[in-house]
Amino acid sequence: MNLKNIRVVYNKERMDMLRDRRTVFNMLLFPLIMFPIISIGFNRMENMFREKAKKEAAQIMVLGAAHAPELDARLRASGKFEILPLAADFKQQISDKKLRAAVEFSPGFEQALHAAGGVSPTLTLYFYRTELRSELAVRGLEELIGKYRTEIVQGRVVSQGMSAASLTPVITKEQNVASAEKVSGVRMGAIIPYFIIIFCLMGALHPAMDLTAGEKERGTLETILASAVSRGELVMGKFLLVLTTSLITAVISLISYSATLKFAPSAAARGVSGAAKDMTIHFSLQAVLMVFVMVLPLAVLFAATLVAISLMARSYKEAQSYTGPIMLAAIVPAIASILPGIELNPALALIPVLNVSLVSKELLSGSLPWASIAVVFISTSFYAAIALAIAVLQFQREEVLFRA
Amino acid sequence: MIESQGLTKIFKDKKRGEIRAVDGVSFKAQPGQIYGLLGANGAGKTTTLRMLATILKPSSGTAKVAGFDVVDDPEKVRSNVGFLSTATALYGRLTSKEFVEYFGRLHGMDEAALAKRIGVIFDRLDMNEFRDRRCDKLSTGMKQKVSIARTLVHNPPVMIFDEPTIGLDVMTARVIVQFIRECRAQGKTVIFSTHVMSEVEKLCDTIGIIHNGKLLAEGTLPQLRERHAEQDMEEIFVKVVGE
Amino acid sequence: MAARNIGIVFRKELMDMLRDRRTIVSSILVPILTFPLLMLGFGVLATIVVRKATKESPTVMILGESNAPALAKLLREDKQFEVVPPANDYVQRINDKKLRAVVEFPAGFEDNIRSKPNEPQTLTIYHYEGEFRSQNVLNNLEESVEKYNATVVASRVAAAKMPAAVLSAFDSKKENVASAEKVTGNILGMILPYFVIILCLTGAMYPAMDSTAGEKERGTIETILASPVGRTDLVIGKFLLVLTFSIVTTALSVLSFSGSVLVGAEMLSRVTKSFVLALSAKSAAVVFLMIVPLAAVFSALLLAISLIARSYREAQTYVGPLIFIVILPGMASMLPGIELNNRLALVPILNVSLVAKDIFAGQYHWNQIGLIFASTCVYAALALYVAVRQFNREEVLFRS
Repeated sequence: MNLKNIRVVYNKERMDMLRDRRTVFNMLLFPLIMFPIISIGFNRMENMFREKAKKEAAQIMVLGAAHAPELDARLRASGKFEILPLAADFKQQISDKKLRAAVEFSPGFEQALHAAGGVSPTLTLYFYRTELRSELAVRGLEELIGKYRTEIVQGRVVSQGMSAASLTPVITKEQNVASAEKVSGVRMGAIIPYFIIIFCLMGALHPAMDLTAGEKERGTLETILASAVSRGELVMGKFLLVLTTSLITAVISLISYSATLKFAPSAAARGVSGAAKDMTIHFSLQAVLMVFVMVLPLAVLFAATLVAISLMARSYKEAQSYTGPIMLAAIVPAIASILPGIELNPALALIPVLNVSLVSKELLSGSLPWASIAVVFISTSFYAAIALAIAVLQFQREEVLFRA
Repeated sequence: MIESQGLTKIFKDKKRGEIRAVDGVSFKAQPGQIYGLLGANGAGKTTTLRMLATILKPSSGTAKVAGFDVVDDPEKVRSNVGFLSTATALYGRLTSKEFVEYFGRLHGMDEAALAKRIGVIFDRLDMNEFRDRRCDKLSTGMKQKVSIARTLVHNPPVMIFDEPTIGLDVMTARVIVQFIRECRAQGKTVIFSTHVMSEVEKLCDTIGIIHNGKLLAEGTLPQLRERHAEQDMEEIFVKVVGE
Repeated sequence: MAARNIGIVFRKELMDMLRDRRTIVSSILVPILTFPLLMLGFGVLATIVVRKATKESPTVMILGESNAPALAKLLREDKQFEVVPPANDYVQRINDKKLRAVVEFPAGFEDNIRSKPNEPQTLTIYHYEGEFRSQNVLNNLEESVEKYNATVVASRVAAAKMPAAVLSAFDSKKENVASAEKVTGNILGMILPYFVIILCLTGAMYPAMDSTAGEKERGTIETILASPVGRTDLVIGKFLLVLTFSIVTTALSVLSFSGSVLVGAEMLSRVTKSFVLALSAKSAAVVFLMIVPLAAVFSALLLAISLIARSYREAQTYVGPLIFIVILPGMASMLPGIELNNRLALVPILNVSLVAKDIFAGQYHWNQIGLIFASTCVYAALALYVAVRQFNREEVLFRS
């Protein structure tokens, strides 16, 4: 194989592709604008609605208020609830979302509390399970009621000579000892490799199909096959272009995501992982670069596979029906790696796509499991080499090149 | 019968401004005769024929096909016209029979008449072998026949062909040429466009040379030969266009 | 005459499209298979995660055990984790995920609990914030500590000669009053409308592109234009075709997810009694009806877009962003806390999503439903008008 010829083919394909509006859009614009829009946009919207829901005074009903005047007064005074007049169909109203919750005090509630000994009274909270505002209302009620309960118990023991403090013998202090990088890594470390892999795939798809099946369709494949360039050189030139577009797309998406993280960190973090607290994201440049190195053989695998498969199709449309399932097959392991609890182990390190995802997760949390890194890198490179060999072989077969 | 008076079609192109694809074309085509429209690529042949078939609307001028005005009564014009351009453009997933049936129905034929007519046409064109085969599985020659069957299904008095033999080999082109002759023999008005000189010499009763949207010369082959002092159609064409 | 021609065109397009393998896959197979596969996948993944979590015993270290022998013993008895001997490198081991948590008792812990009942004692639990297993272990440890707390308080109360009942002020019960249908509906309403709307769109895609841009590419558009059928009739015939596929896709999606939910409910009821799934036929039917005008909007839009394109490939380039635009409101409707109100009822696609959410939860605000249905029909009519206009423009039909 002649390197110069490969370069000639590559340059022509590159020039051609850059003039294709669709590729440029997919490769540059889309990844660039997607993250900011989605992360920030969604986060804004979600916050808007969540905060609104929280701030709204939840509409509740209090049944048997006469049995617990003190608690009832507290509910009214808290400002968090809007107490509606009693109605018999409160359960239906909760079901219909007209009422968020209801509190029912058993007869003689507060009396029983202040009488020494005797039966513990009950209160019942009625709510609509899984409905956000109802659940929030119940949470608010439980908080208020919990405080009241603590006060009662404290009052009781204090009146008998014990101190309130004696009711909490042990206080637990939680202390995080993991580095900031590791904490970021575990929250976001799964998402980033997922996106890189997806974009890598997306960036390779259209060029792979267009340069093979598309050319067959347009009739230009025949012309180039009659020229001086060898089949091997031809396929390498095309493959390299597909790889290039794929990597550029992945890089741009990575940059876009990093920029979003940097300039609107809480927005991006919340938008993606639903983290409830504000947190700073710490990724070392080294970790990100290592991830990129791990994705490299994967990109080769994708590019080679897509080229080999698209070549079998007679037209661009047909190529799409072949590559569709491949895309799905690649996306599923990427998604699986996001699940909590899935960790890299020797068995998983051999599964393509999934292994890169998982090892990237580790890398982004600052650890360097060299053994795993080696296994993943080598196995992916191995798969990539096989795919590339298949692509080259396909290009030699006349039945494939000249399907009618 | 086809009559056109000052038929004009103007296209607006964003980059090139106004384009007069067809510029004041007037001619008559008689029943039982073949009128040949001769011109290079982009001369305005296809646009003229499309206007006659009511596929395009004229920007100005008039045309009457089978007695109906193309602007006022396009539906009636279409009922009386058999239009054939790309002979191999078929609905791939339909069978030959289904394809012809579709157009027959659109022409308002009821099922009984349609079935009978299809039987007649398929027999005459020797198409029964691939009657129930999908169109994308037919050879070029078979596809041609299907297209011809389609143009004949409603037995129109006017036949319009737009470069019907383009891309066809000698044998299959002959089939089309033969078919065009038969149409004339049946008394139909036939007009076809081409840039193949031999076809013009073989087939046409009247020849119109069109260039840059204008009808530059018209007449029978002997008339044109005399007028321009040339025997060979190609030489006549080059002379007319060169002026 | 016009109706007859529309019928002829429609029947031919239908026959043609049903023979296209790709359309069958995207309009029929995909909607049927999506939901069962999703449920299956979800179920499988959930089982794997649960099984993995229960199999592996996470490790915990106790520092200063001599300061709290009783509590340490209690922790050791917890079967959910395994206690390992103390070591100095615990911070590193936690970082490396080899150790999940460390409990540290300060000097004199249990002694002080006994002798200084008025001074709460603090123990520290070191963990890996946000890490799944570390978090689990943390929760387990805190549960055990709470149990210990309760025992200590009980003994203190007894020592002060107070009855144990002193500590239990009152019982509080939580009772869910929403029917299983409503709870299911609430959950389903958060995800399903999104999927059904997307499927509705994708079901219309191929028929739309194939019958317009595809025809232009194959060269058959000229032939049909030379036939007696009027242009408007032709567009309407094609529109009806695309609409048919879109509606069939939607119906299949609704049936498929209903089936999946019912099967899932059946399987779930065998595993746990606490969570019951139920789906009302009425809500599924009304949701289907709401999506029909949306299907019309999509069909007309896709038709108009595909008409403008010169080739199938160009049509796809335009349709891509459309999918994106449709996905956004769909996803927005999944956010918790978003509820239908008068303002949002005017936003296309989003309104259908949100009202579907309400309908699933068994809420039928008929005036809102009517308003959304009507407004979507108006959008559909507009889109169809645009499609018809496009088809009458020669520049569009004969672009080169």
